[in-house]
Amino acid sequence: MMKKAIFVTGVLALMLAGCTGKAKKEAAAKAVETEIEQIETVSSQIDSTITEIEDAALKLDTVINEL
Amino acid sequence: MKKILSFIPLFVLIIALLTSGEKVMAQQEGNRGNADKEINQTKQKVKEKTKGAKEAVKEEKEKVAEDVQKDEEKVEEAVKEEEEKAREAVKDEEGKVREAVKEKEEKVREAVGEKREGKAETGKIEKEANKGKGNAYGKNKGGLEGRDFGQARAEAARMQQQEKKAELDRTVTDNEGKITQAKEKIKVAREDLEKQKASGKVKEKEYQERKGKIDNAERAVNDLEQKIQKGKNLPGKSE
Repeated sequence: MMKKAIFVTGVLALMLAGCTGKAKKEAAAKAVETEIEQIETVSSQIDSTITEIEDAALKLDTVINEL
Repeated sequence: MKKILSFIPLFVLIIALLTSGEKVMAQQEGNRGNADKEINQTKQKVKEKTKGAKEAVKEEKEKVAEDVQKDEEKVEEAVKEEEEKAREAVKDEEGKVREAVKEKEEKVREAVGEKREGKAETGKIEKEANKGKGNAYGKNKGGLEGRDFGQARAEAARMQQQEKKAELDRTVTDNEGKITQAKEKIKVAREDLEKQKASGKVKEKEYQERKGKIDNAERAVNDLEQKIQKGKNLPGKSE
């Protein structure tokens, strides 16, 4: 009986350890994905801001030349 | 003899008449000469005055031209200085970014190389790497396992962002110089317009048109300033 209990406990402990490791890996992967998404969002904002600045500069050039 | 004597008073009379006529003529000529002299003097005076006025106008024009040239030179110098500063700033920033990107690339390469050496045979890895570079995230990862692949992607995204930041910095610096230049031009144009209006050289309609253009340019400057400010305040921006 005691042996059985020890065996079951050991199996449960192994399963728990395995699941925890997998969960940790998944969480880390998710964190990396989130980080990548954030970086890409900022990159896209930078891109659109550059375009806006260039458009505004072009408009300014035109109106200044009209003076 | 008697006949001759009777003609003498007539001769005397004729001589007297001739003498008085010459005197009158001389007097008239004298008067005419005086009048001519006066006219000539007046003409000369008028000419001198006109000359003086022309010279004054010339001098005034030269002064105005010199002032305008000086103003233009000042503006050009200011713009040149601003541009040089901007170029230097951009160069510094580019150098920093390049160094950072190189360092990160090296680190990623080293990390990837270590993983490759430690985990699989070199021949197989090379084949896989050649087959699957830059493909779908979940399946073919260029010889990298899930976690490493994710890290490499994150690193690549960071590097790309660094490059974009550098580009944004460059754009901001360039356009800040442009704003300074535009503000100077607007200032000069406004001052010129006001001067011309004050001296009556510009009609009301033309004045309003030119004023509208200047206002328009000012709005464009403000718009560009706002966009630049937005670029400076971006969340990923370090400075």
